[in-house]
Amino acid sequence: MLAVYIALMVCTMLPVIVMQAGADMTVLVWLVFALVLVKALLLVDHFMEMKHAPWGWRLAAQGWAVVVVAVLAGVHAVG
Amino acid sequence: MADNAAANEKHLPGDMAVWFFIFAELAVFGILFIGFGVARSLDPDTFAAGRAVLHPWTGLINTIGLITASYLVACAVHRLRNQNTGTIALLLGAIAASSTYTFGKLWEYGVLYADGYNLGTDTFFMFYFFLTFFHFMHVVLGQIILVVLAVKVRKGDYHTDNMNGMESGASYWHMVDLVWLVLFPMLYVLA
Repeated sequence: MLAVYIALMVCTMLPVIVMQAGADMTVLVWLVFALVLVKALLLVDHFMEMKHAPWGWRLAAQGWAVVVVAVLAGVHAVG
Repeated sequence: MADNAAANEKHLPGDMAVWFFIFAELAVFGILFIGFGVARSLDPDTFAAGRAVLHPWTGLINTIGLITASYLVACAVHRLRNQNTGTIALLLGAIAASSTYTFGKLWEYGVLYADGYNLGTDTFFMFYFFLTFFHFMHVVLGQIILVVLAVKVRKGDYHTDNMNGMESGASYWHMVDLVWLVLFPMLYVLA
């Protein structure tokens, strides 16, 4: 559980560190999309304990983040 | 250990009715997020100007507060399931950690309002105030639920054989955190 918490903190801090390092905004945006997805899946599986839920419920909980991030990324790419 | 037993069988944490409620909430937030994305693509300059006015460090501290609270709530569920002490302290710790979010958000609302920004300023601030206040109300409700859980644990209402209420409350809390994990970068980085 502590390892998941540390991973979530690292994923939260990473974009800030990358931004401070002067990374390109395009790289930063796609990094943020990827990290949001990683954080959401970690939270759903470990903190929400959906890892041990029936597969349909787990899929629905994980699917929310995947669909929302995919649509936002798609709209961002098109825009 | 009860944790190991729970891991070996498929088990939906909490009440199924609460999960229908959680998915309804997630659907509403999801539609609003997609609406935000579409509105941003139609007027990127307004959204970029709005984002520049926000306080990203407040958003970052809020995120750390909510993730810490979620971690403490998850630990509280494990400790109660394994009949260990310290569940109430962890729940109170979660309330304290999440208070950094509530006070941080109120501070940011105050600063923005004093600078003349409100729901009617432009499309970005309409979304900003609506989305964040809608989420803020969920956080406050979540904090009330955590207080109720702490009281009921103290009274001995929840234990290894009766985790339904505790798991339901914890799942709601994690949903609030999950929504913020998308909302924070969407407003403070991507806009």
